Amino acid sequence: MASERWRQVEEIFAGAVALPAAERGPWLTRHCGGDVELRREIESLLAADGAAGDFLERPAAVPETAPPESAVGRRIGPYAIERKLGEGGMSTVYVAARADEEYRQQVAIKVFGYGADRRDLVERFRAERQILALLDHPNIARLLDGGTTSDGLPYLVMEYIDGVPIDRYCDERLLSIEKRIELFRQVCSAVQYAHQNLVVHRDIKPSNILVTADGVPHLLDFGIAKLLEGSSLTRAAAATVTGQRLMTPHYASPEQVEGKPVTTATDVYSLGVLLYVLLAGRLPYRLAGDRLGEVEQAVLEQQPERPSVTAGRQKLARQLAGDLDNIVLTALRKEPTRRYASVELLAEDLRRHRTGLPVLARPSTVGYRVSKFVGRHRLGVGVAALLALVILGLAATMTVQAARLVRQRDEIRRERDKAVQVADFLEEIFSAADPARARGETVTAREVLDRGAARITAELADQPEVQAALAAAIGRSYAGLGAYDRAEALLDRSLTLRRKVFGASHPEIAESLFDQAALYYARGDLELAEATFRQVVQMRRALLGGTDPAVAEGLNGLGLVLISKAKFDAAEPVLREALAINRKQYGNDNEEVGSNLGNLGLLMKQKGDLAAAEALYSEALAIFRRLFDAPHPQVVIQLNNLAMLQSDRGEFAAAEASYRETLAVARRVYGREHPQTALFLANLAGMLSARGKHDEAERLARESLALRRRLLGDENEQVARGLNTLATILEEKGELAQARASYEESLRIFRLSFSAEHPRIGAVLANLANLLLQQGDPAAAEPLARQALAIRRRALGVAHPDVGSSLVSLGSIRLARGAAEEAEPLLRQGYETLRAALSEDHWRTADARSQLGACLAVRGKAAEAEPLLTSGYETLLATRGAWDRRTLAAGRRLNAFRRAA
Amino acid sequence: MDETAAGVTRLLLAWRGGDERALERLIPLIYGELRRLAGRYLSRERAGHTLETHDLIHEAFLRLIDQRQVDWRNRSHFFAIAAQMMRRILVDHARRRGYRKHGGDVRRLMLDDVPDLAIQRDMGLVALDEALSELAEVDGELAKVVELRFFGGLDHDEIAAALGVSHPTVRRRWRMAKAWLYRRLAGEVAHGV
Repeated sequence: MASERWRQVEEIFAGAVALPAAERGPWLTRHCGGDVELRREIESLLAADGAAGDFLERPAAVPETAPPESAVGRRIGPYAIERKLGEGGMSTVYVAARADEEYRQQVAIKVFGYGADRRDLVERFRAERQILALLDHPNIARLLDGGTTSDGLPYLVMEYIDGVPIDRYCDERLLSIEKRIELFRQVCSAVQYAHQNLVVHRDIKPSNILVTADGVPHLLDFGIAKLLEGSSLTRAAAATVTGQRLMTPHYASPEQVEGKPVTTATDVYSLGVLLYVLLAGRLPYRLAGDRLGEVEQAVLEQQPERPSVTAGRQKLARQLAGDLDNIVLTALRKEPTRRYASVELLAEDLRRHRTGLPVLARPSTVGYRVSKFVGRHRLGVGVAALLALVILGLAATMTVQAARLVRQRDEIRRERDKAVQVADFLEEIFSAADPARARGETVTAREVLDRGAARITAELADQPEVQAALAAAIGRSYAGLGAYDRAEALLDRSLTLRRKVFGASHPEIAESLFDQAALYYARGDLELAEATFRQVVQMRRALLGGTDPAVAEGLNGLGLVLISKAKFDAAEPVLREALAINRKQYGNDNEEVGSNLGNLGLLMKQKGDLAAAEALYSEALAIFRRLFDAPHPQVVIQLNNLAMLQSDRGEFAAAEASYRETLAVARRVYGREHPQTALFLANLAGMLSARGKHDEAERLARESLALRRRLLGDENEQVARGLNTLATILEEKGELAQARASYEESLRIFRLSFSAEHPRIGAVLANLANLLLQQGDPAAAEPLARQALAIRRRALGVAHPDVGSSLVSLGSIRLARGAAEEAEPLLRQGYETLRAALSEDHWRTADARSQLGACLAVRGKAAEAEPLLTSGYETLLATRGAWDRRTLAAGRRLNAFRRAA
Repeated sequence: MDETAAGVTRLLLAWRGGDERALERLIPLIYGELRRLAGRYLSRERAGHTLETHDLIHEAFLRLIDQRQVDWRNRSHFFAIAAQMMRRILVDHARRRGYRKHGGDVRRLMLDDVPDLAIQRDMGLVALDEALSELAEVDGELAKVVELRFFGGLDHDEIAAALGVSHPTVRRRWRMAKAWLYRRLAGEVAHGV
């Protein structure tokens, strides 16, 4: 700025600044005249002057970096410092006591700031405070308070854990391997909980896990923890560790050593090191000396010795060899994506090991190389593939196939198609949304599709073949986003164009039909879907031969439709044929094979064969884990399947955690506005209700329902499912009238979408019958219960647990109507069916036992009734908790019996 | 110390009397003493509260200068030299500790909910130093006022004496400089984040 000009600015500014605000305008007008630039400059300085506040008003200070040596004996807030516990890079931790209380509560106070870079310090303080405030878990040291000392240093007050580092604890008490694993699993649950709250600990090591005298491990020191993406706090926390490696090298993961991005997989790795130490008694890497950087080098390059080899002692080595070796080494893999996809899966594998089930951890195989290849070929069309994948996935429980085949189809098409335009066009449309990013941003994807759809009509009118291919690709993607109407229009256009070009029977026609069938299925038009899939299979068999993978693709779709229609006996051979074709074609480590296995698992689960379902899911999961980086739709589906199995086994706490994780991952994969996300919301809601968290359950169920209505329309079968879920939750809450209305609406919509024999209709009828019985209207309940029983017998077979439940329900209704003699055989048969299909200890069996007991009491068979009533109640108490509706009812029955006796 | 004090005092007076070479010899002496004193605080040797630069310069002044021979004007000149040096010492220290070009911290931390001003104060030192150098190119007199007041802890009277200008001039320059720097650093926040 020219000097003269500057003087002018200075003078006018000085004059203006001395004036009251109202008089400044006229002053400027007078002195600046028409010089707009001058006026703008002065106005901007005046604005800064107004905003500056006490900026620079306090002179610079020499940073005081030494800790007050006299801290002990001083007070911080209401806490009197007793002794120093330790010192970290940026903080000092003291033990203190709250002195002004009647009782003496010991706390740990972490004071930030001594010797620290102050900018980091404030951010670190804030990040840690926010992270701890998020976490409330029995195995995580709790945040109690926080503030600023009289010296102006921020501090946090935390639960003081008077314990011993976990490794020392195990060794001093000579704990067995089983006990060590048990302790370790508790640590996993704390870490898992943190991950669900999007917090990565990043510094898991024995000195941060203290075990108290009562044997409970506590995870401490979230000092370098990080909030994952998706949290608004990410930036502050993430900024802190750049450039400085704060972690402990022995427990640090390769990505930490290299300064690469840190994810939950980082904690999985550190847990792996911890488990190694707890089991083998040594660190995983063999170091020649203590040269600087040697640990880091080993972490990056050395393959850890199997714990059983390191362990030395023969008996121990035998215990570790096999599963435990594999589990530890899976957690310790160098590549984050090849470790356990979550801490939960690590814990789950340990559970499986303990209960003798096959573990998921396997030595690496060819599959790994295949997945690398697939990863490299995830091109721009990945978005389309990804979205198309969802078409088949609307029933969350389903393992779907498509991405790979769509990819293949697109690749084949690209080679085959003379017009390079297709590839270019797709590339152009889809590369705008990077697959990794697009997973979480449906809006962006939708915009991309809208642009693409508009352009194909305008630009490709004279090339029907190319236009048809693109219309199909975009149509599939729309369907993946749940925009079924737009999808249908484009898929219809594609088929029409192709018929003009290729005639009635051609692989491309079959492909269009397949797309349509998948759409019908997603939308719940099951009759149309079945017929169309059959047409696809028939056409492909004729054109390509019986063993072509395209035939398997059609069979897989058909199998899913048949499962949805509860035609289980028809579905099984269809799915097995698809599996056989794919295995022969691709070998075992393949997405199609995984999908087929998962779908067979679903079939088994729907039939009530949980053991078979679990084995199949696990096999599928293992394949997907070898093939994919998380998060991926297939991984979400497997997480959900796992949660459902846990729920079916009565492991509710674990199931809740799993459902939460599923939802969190699903939101990242699909975005918030997506039918899949709505489904996982509903699943979580159902689980929360079972756990007695009624308000949250209702809120989520309504959110899910609203989302479905918005995305799918009011009379979609998914809306009916949502209404059924909501009704169940309302019923648990005791809002019976509202629940009844929701059941009835659900039934009405299901009847629009499904045949009258669909087991879902049976389920809603059964729910409604139970509700009416609760409302004291057994006469109205009875016909509904009978309908439900008849539907279930026909659709599911006589041995199905749902048939057992229906028998029990009908028996109770008869009992309530005074027909105890008739009720008894119904209840006995129902109870036996449940016992055979599930187990003696399953809550449904226990509920039936209690109801049978009540009936026998009425029938004067007190001796037989008493143990049934007692054990029914106690099992419910143990599996459902004291406040569950069924537990309470069983308690009432038992009390009534005892009073009468 | 008395010998040094006598020497430094003589040099200061000589400089004030017009001997420019005296300043060349004076600077390393003052700088050395300031560094030594500051180092005691910047390292971990001393327990206690945050120390304002003014106190530290004053301590150096007491050590280096024979009080009986200098009046308050001379004292202001000593402080003016020292302020410039403090700026260098503090900024170098901050820079060494890894404050790279994180402009905007001054303001961001001003608006912060952490109530501790001591923490904010040295946050944006590097950014401030750079902005101050830019200001010096536009108007060296404004920058000087900031240096004396912020880094030296001088009050307006001392600044007026050191610069040989009137008190209102100091006040006017301070206000203008503050607005300019605030705009400069706040703008960096807006663009840099």
